[in-house]
Amino acid sequence: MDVEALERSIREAVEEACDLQALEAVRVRFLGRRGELTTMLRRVGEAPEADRPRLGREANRLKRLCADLVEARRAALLAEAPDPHYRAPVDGTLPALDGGPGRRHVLLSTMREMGEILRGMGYRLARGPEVELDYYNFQALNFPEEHPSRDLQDTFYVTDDVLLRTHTSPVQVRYMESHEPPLKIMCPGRVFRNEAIDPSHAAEFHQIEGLYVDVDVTMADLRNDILLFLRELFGPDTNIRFKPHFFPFTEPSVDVDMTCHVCRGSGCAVCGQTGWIEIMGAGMVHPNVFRAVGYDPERYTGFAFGIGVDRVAMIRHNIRDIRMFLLNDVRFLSQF
Amino acid sequence: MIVSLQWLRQYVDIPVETAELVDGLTMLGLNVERCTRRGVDDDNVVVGRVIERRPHPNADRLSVCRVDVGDDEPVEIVCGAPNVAAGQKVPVARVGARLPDGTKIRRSRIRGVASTGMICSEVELGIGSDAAGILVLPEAAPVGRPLSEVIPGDVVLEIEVTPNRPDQLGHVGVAREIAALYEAALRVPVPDVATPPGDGGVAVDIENPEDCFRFTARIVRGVRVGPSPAWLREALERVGIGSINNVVDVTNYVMMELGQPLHAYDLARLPGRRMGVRRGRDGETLEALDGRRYTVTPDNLVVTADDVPVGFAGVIGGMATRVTDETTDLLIESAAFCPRIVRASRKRLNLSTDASYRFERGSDREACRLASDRACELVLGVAGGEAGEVVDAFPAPWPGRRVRVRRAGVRRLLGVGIDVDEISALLGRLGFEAASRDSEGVEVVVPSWRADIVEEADLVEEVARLYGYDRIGRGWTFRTTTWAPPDAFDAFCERAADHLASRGHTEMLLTSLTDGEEVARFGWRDDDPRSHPVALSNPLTRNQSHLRTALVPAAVDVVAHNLAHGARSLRLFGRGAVYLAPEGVGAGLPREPQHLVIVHTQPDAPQWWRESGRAADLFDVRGEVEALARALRVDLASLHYRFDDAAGAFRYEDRDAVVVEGGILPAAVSREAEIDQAVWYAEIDLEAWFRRREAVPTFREYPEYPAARRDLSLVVPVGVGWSEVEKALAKHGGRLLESFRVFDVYCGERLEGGRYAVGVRLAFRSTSGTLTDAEVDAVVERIVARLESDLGVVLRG
Repeated sequence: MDVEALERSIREAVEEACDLQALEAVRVRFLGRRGELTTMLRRVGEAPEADRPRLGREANRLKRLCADLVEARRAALLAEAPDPHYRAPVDGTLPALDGGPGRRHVLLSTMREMGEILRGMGYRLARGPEVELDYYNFQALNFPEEHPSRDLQDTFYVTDDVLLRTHTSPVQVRYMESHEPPLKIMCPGRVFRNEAIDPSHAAEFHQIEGLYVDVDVTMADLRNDILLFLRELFGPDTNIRFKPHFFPFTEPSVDVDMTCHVCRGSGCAVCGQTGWIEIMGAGMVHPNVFRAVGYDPERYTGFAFGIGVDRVAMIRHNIRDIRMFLLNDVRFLSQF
Repeated sequence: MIVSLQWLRQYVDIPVETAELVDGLTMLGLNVERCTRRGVDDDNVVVGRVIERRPHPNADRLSVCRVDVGDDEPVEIVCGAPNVAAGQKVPVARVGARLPDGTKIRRSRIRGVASTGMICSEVELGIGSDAAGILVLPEAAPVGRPLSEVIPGDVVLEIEVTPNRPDQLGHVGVAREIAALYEAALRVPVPDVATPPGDGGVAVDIENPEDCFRFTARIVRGVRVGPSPAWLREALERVGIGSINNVVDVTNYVMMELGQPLHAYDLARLPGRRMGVRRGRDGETLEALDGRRYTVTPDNLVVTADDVPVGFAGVIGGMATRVTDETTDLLIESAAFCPRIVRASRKRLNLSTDASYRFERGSDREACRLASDRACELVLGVAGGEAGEVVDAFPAPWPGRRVRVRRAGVRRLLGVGIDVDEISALLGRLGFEAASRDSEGVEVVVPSWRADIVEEADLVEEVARLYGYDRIGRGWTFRTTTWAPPDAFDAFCERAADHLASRGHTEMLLTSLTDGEEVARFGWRDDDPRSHPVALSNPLTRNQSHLRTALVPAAVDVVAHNLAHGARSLRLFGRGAVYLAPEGVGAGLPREPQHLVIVHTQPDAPQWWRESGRAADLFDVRGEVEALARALRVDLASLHYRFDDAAGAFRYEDRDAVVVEGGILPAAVSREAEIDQAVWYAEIDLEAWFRRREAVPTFREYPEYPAARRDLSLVVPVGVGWSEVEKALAKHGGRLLESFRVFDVYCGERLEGGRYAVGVRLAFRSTSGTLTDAEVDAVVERIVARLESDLGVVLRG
């Protein structure tokens, strides 16, 4: 009896058993009632007297070894085995996802993100009607009746006194009428202009307005809030510059330029080689606006700013045509 | 406002290069929208003389010219212009020249003939718009010299002038800003004209000084009307004004110089010499310079002669009294009118002119006489004649204004400290003379051309402009800011949107504007608040003439667009305000509740290997509504649910209002939108949902005892809805009936008469112990008995 050959064949058989069934067959082959080791042990008595003790020891050693190997192999196979409920699929490489989740509209998610930044800066949400009185949209904001400044914003009218708001600024007036300073608010929302529609002009678009009024608010504070806001939105290497401008409801009024998003300031076709693009309007609240809401302009100062959400989304996502937003083609919507 | 740098240099020395000037003006608030170089400063573009012109051997429309460009040998140039001829002086771009549009001139062969350079048109030289032929130069032009010696180059700036700054609508006004910026001297023209005493019977009568502040009438006799000299034509052309005749060109030139609109009348054609300014009278008409006859109303201010209207004051002159080639004697008007009246007048006429544009922004009434004298001086120079008398009616002079600006006022708005000396100096550069000053501030005299300056804040802006806007707030350290709390309704809407997106819906941005015809298409009844959309009085197009009263019509357009562009299945949602007209006349603004619409469409065929290929149906969209309600913790169970079998429409409503409304799209809507598959929708009143939400849920103990389950198969008779069965189950199941669910619906052949069977699994549980079979059976028996007696629902045998 070649003990060494037997041991080798035990080790090989256990090693090759690749599932529990095969392993059981191995166990039966060696350790079963008619198994090779069982038989070997039984035949020890048939061996010459002198060999018996050695053969008996070897047979018992192999029996223990085999049992240990089978047990170890069983544990290993069990650890690897799938759940017994498992049924193999037709083809595990078939696609699993059909389309996936839907998408938030890119313009609204942009507006949300801008609002969240401002909220983190202490601007509280305020809202007002989209169909507005002439008084709030114009008069209280220091647009006198029959003044050319009204030509800056082509207006949809419902009646002589009722119109579709041309900016989110009337919310400022409504909020100040019902609150006392200090106050810091933002008003996101839809606005309307009666303008010919083209890739950069829509009759309906969106703005976020910010307003901060207290006893000591200055243009330096305005600059810092705008810088913080735009850096959060467009990246930390964003810079701004203030240029004089005119809005009836602010004095001084500011046009805010931002580092060109394409060339990052080195000059390109998008920014007309200046390195800057116009991004928003701002200024110190005009004393007449404070007077309209019953604040004392000698006591309070404040700043206001307004930024177009559509333009921000277009800049960030390289969208060339503002009309894409309202067209809602799913080939567009699904990209964001 | 278009300004020419050449023109500006008459009034101010510009010490910087163009690029720096553009930047300086922009940072001063004169936003330069476009900067165009006119003419060429490349010395390779020279004056040439055409020696000979002969036809091109291989092309009918081309000719070959021998041109003397001042070299030893003439050059041969192939030219396509029809007007080229031997003997002409012409501009020639030599090989190596670069034209204003960037074209580089190279030696070339055109249809087999060598061409050494190019004879240029106005367009190619960037000095005009005539592309029909080459530019022919005056005979005196020196051959071989750079063209820029004959036609100097220029830079033209388009400046955005805001409505508060009418003073910048003339070159002198822009020059004043440049002078202030670079601390240069401003040279305002000082006309040198005689003003003999009146003898022609000219008088001026102003009806109301509030309508017309000033009217200056200047007589010039013996002029010869004709073409303008080149300098005048070119000056006007550079700023975008076409030449008419020498007299009219002078009035336009002075307007572009001083910002004061002028008008010249043919004195002989005026009905009389008593000039007047008054409101129009009903019944009067006037043929204007544009050749159209307008009716006159009291909204129009008119200039009259012997009480006959001869012009719309501040807007446009009359045809009958215009200056023509026969005109010899002129009456030049230089006036100041009330901006509001001019604006109302031009709006009524629907006619905006360079004059009305300036007057409605406010002209400098103190400058009328200067402009009149300047025009007279220039007319004498270009059209001859003799200066006549001036009648200057000036009933309402500029009242003058003094405004004080304090150092503290500057600091509180700008956040920077600027001392009084510097404030005073900065304002002085802009023409604000100090009237008085002390240690705290300075009071300045507002010049008549700066009527926009009313109070301290206005002066602070002036100080800031010259101090440098961009120096303000630099190096400031960030203040700590306080976080603002979220808005509960906004957060609620966002949660709804995020939930729907994660369930596979894509968000739409829906237009607020509609054509108003959805009311008929959807068949909304007259008592439905959606059936009275707010109409715009001045819509852009008929398709955008009303405000939406529901979101679903716009969503239908989105579905139709996407189906037409290849989409098969759509799961969409959109939200936004709807605009519900206030009830009663003059009832104020519309209500604007926030709505949300969900839309599903899916064809019958499978779109995906894992799905059954069932078309979208009622239960899909209602399931979404109820899942959303659950996600937002909105209680829908207490609402009344109705389903209209015939229409396929459902609603959830309470006593006051419809909270959810939906169903399959009406056939008329689908047909109109050319949609050929079922589209199901639900429109939700988000504000009503918000009111019904459970903001902070309260934990309820759940029993640890096991549940007992019973399955029942119920036959539901015709005319009874499951929602009623459900209510009866809940009611009669009592406290022990924990929950139930429909696990099967059968409506096959064995049930006649439209009845159907429902398999329902009931779960019973007690909070106090394990239920016995007997206890459960008793409840089941009670339920079955009541279902049968109340609703006719029986157990399926």
